[in-house]
Amino acid sequence: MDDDLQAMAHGDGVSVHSGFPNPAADRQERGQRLALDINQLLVKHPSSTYLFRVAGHHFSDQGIYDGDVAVIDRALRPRPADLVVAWQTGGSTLCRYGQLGPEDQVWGVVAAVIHQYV
Amino acid sequence: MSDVFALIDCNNFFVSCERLFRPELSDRPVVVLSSNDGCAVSRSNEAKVLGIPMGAPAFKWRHFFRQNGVVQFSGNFELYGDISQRITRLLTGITPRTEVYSVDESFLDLSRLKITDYGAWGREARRRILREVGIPVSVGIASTKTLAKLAAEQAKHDAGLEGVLELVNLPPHDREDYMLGTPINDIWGVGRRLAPRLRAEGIYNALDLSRIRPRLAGQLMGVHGRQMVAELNGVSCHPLEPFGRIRQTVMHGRQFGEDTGEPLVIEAAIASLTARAAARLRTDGLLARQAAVYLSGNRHKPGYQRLSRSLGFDTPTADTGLITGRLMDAIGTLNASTAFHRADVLFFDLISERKLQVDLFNHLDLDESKVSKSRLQAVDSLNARYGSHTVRYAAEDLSASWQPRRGHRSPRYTTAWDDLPIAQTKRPPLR
Repeated sequence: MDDDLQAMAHGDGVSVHSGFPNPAADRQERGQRLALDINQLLVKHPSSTYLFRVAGHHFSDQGIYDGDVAVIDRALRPRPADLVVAWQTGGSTLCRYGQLGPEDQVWGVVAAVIHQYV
Repeated sequence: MSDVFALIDCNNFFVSCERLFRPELSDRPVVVLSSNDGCAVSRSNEAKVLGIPMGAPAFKWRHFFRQNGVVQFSGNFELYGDISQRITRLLTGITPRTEVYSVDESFLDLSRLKITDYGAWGREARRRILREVGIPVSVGIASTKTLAKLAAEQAKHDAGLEGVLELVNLPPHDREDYMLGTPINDIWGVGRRLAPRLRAEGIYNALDLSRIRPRLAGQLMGVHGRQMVAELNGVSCHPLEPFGRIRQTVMHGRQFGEDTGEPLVIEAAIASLTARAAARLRTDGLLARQAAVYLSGNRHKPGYQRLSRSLGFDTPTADTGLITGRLMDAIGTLNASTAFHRADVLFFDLISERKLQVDLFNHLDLDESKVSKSRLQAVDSLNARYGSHTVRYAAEDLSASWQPRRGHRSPRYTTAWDDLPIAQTKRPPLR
């Protein structure tokens, strides 16, 4: 907002039209898309976000199903109630951080789970 | 304002990428093989301790690998490329003054950041890359790129440094200790040919080299050497190049699945390599004035043979069809009894498309080059969208013997939906 006000004060990017000015003209000119990008919602830290495929039914009662895609952010610090992907003997598991033993390694925190219906 | 550079250097990069998704391999000897499982191109520290050299040919070491429990991977270059981009992104978030020097090394210009403790800064950068991307790195910080590189090398090998060495605020005698401990062949810019000549002059380490007279440096190594000596003395000669160095050549090569003299297989290989190299030119906005093709036999087998042809283009080009045709003509008829092991295609004498437009505006048949360009862009965009072999030229046949051998490739964890790593749900404890 401040930027817009500044731009208008300096006359930058404000064209003189008789109609209502298109506030998005600037972004359009720069070739940026206007529609929302779902990555903005799901991926807060692109360099530390990895995707995993959920396997198994132990979290079905909590709305996480076999085949879902888990969005894992390694930059987040896990809290006890957080879902995490952890490395235990035998492979990677999806579980609560509080469930882990001292030997288990946290790989990353589950930031979102995507379930596709179609 | 004095110069300060950091070099961020990934440790055993390809192996580290594989271990990110296979943490159980963290203390096992691991090697990553070049395309077609040719030779070891990345080795874990455990593999280095076992004496496996860089470039060890897999077929010679197969028995040794098996006996010593060495885990081998075929190169998963899509994975490595993605991880490399993640690190670049993280670094660019710290400062836009970042130069991606290679797939596993980046220089940062720290001179405009308000940093008082460079060691602490380096440890934090290292911690973030390890935690957030998942890759261990070594960090060297100094007033020149050459010294930053030297510091990163020391940080990598001296366990006591925990991956970070800064030379900016280090007392001079400590800095000299590290230079004394850097053998001549570990210095940035000293190649395999130069090292013995320097040793013959009694120059064995970085400290020796930093103390030679500029005249002698010039005699031994030219301008390049004078700059190297200046850089070792803290005088920066190589500024940060945020947009990367201008590409001088584009080369693509591959080994055949098995040695072959079959003209059709060789043609297919050359067409496919040309297609890839030309696509590279087009993404970089470059055109080639010259091209070369090399066919070579197996160096490890008797009767080693090599064939090379080069040619020039009157009008610089990045047109796959045109270049393939000219290379085929240059090779001429092949004798099917000569078995070749690999093929390489090289484009050199490159010129930027924009410069060409200025230079040759009056000479070019613009309409024709436009048609050719839009056709090629269509091919590139289809291949980008639907996978890299959707649209091909006729000769670009994917016959079985040309397909690379990648018997040990890991899943494309981050670049293919079907290959995502699996998280097995674990039964929550009963309440």
